[in-house]
Amino acid sequence: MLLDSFFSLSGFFPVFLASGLFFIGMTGVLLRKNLLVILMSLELMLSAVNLNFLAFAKIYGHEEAPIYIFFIICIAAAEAGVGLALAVRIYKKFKTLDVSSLSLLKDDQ
Amino acid sequence: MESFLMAFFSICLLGTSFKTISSSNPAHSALYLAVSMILLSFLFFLMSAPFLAGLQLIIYAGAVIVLFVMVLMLFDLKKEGEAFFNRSAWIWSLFLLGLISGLIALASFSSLPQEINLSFLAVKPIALKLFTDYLLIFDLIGLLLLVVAIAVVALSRLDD
Repeated sequence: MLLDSFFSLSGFFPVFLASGLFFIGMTGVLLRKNLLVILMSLELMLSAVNLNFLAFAKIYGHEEAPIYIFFIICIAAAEAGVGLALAVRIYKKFKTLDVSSLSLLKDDQ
Repeated sequence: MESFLMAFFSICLLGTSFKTISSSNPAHSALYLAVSMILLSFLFFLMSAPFLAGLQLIIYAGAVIVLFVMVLMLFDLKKEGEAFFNRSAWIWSLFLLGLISGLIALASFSSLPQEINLSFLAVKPIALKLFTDYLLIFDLIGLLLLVVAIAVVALSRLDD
């Protein structure tokens, strides 16, 4: 019964799950060096936002939530396309995907 | 049964998404990301949103992850020896996770959820809203996708 109430489908459990997923994605964006893995972590964060939207829509009954989730998924797909094209350009120019080696704009002091 | 499935999928989702950011081979990362997107669409289905589950499955697992894997073929990626370059930031992110979860728990104790009619998650109400109230934004999203397609072609044909 305790398990049932904790994981109850209308309750706040999906919000916990979404915050955990968002922080895993944020850790990936902040701490990884590989550009492709950073883009994947970005996708994880956007999915966590979608899950959060759906969870709160189920709690409070906001009827616009599915529309916004639809738009977020579309924009995430567009962002992945542009990000991957930029990654290909960066690999052509620098021969690496390590973001710590991309310091062309940095002032040399 | 549903709460058991929910717990199982959630634990698998957290595990696969953690493996996505912690495995040192990007190809493994992409495959774990595909599994976690499929699990997320199962969760959407369990939360009685079948249309969004299908959308997640088709667009993320079907299009975006396949794009990632295809782009991975273009690079010759050596394995990174160390996946992360800052160990202490792990502690900070776990701390922040605990803080936010605690705040959510406080909010959930103060306001008890009531019973809500979930019929707005079906396909028909979504389509009705999308093509009446949100028609302009829908058109703009289409324009955005066109601009992105042109931009990607331009970026890939750019001469050095």
